[in-house]
Amino acid sequence: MSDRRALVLRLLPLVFVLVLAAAWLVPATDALDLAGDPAAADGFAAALDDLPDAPVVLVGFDPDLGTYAEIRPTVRTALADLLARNARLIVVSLTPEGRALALAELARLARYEANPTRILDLGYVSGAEAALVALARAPVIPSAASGELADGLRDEGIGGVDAVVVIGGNDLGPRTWVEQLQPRIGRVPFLAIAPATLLPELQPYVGGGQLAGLLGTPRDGAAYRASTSLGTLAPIVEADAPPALPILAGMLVAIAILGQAWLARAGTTVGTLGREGRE
Amino acid sequence: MIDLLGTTPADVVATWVAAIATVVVLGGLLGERRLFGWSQHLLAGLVTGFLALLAVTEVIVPRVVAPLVADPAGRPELAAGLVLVAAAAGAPWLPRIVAAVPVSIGIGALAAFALGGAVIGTLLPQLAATIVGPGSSPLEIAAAAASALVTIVVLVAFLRGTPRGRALGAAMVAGRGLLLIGIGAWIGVLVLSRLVLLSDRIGFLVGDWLGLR
Amino acid sequence: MNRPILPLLVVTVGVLLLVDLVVVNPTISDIAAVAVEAVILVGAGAAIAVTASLAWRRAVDLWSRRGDPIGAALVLVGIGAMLVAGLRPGATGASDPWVAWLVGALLVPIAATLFGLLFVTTVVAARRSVASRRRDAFVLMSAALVMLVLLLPIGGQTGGALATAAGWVLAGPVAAVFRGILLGVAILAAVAAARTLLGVGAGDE
Repeated sequence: MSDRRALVLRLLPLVFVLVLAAAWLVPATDALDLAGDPAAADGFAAALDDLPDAPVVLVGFDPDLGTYAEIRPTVRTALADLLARNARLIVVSLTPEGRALALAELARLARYEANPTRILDLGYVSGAEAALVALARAPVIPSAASGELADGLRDEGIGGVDAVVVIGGNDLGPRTWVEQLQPRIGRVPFLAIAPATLLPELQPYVGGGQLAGLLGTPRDGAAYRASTSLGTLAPIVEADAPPALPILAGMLVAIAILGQAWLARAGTTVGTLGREGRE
Repeated sequence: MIDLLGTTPADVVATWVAAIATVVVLGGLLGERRLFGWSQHLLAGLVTGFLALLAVTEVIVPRVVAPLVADPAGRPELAAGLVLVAAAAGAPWLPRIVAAVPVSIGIGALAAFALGGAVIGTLLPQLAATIVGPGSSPLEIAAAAASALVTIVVLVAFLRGTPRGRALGAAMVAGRGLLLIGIGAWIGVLVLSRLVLLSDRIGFLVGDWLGLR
Repeated sequence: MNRPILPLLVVTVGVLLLVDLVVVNPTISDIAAVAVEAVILVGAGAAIAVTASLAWRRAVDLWSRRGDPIGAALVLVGIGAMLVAGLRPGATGASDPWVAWLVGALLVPIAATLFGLLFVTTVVAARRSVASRRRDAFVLMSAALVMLVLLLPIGGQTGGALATAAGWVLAGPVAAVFRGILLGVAILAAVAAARTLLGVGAGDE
């Protein structure tokens, strides 16, 4: 390979990054739409609509540091949506990465002056599946926690929870919650927001009714964000919706790269079959 | 945009540090390996340090140490708990017979939770989900039957073994093909997912750091 | 020398927790609660063991000038910075502002950007697999290409049709494939767990 070609190949990723950066600066247009088929978003919203007034929602906050960016806007919208529905949130994490992100998001909600009496932070519990079993049996509430939400949890335990929303991404994700917690706490709806890496293990739970709602791809999340109406809590969500143009640019590059290799391979196969046919 | 930090001077410094860290890691795309490698070492140290911090401040102290200090003689089980924590924490260096106790407890629990969760949490409900309920339309029945057929042949292909008989062999071939198509479709979604992650970091540089958006 | 007490501990804890799952009995429940709490504490202890072990290994590497000394030093700096930030006098543990600063300034950006690079590596790897002339790879990437086209973020009627098609593909045939995979994984996990509890194979010590 010549030096110039090697240099070009080496700089191509930088050019691609610069193209994405430029795409970020282009104003949004109706010709592009990141929101996909609304079925999953509608299902998620419908599951929230079915909750009683002022529900108590257990939020299992365990995203992965690396993939959180994929679901972050959707998570923030979901938290705002729940608070807009007068929900009271009980937040717990079973993984260190999840706990780090939970603390960051709780601090962000505090900066936006979310009502602290509506959020109870149970912290981090080690032990993986054992933590979920302990949660079902008797959640450990910080001794300093006070107020109606904490007192209600002390009195009723997990039985007073109206829904479970799991923010996934780690090994201990929605599947673990469904397997370990759901059999122990009865007919409480489980919902999940997770990155696409977990789609194969979560999609069947939707079909099987074990997950009342799942936002498992970036486009499902975008469709949900586009459908919510948050009223005075709108400032809590991300001010800028992730734009569609960088995504389109990147996908066209991916399709071009894979498509070129695919066509070459298909051409070779057709050529081989043609030669065999003539022989 | 990403808004994980506030607007205090410390947070402004943090934004600059985050931008530098982002550029260093992106440098891996251009073949810059040394700084990239060092950033991974730093990440490993920070994550591991955070893990220990959580274990101490959010589990061991509130569940064992604080209650034990408040009432040393009243709860002997806490002393046993503290010994267990110490045995687990010192496992790499303690005699094997001592370290094996917490490990054995962990293995037994892990196996029980895995078995119980897999059977009661996944297998039984998912098998029940393939059964179509009464009152379904012919289209729903056909769709469910097709779905169940796909699931069965994929399961046959997934579980290893030498196929015996033409029917099982055909099911394995069909299942393998469907498995490849399903995973291929998932890879397509993953490419989009990874692109969103990369785009988000670019957006952080453009928006949060440079303030161009 | 055989130490049957340890496999016995594995089986006892395992069977106790399984019975607690399927049988409603206050006595079993209370004993199982003790076992669950023990596992939580073991988890916390193990976290400290992992951290101490990593720090020790890197310190030894640094002392004996083995491997990458700067990398080893950075690991120790990372561990130390996080522990000092959270455990210093007056700190509030993991929710301390110093810890939040480290998370926001370093932890999240490095990890998130690392995963962002996966877009490039995934596309490059996919291209290589297509070019490898293996039939399986060709089928795999054909499906991936179709999915990528269906997922293009286009607006209007065309985009709506593509999005509907993508939704149907994922919720219909692909979901059935995923169910087969999930069932297979669950069966394998159940068999492996049962073998552990029964002491079959090498996993009993």
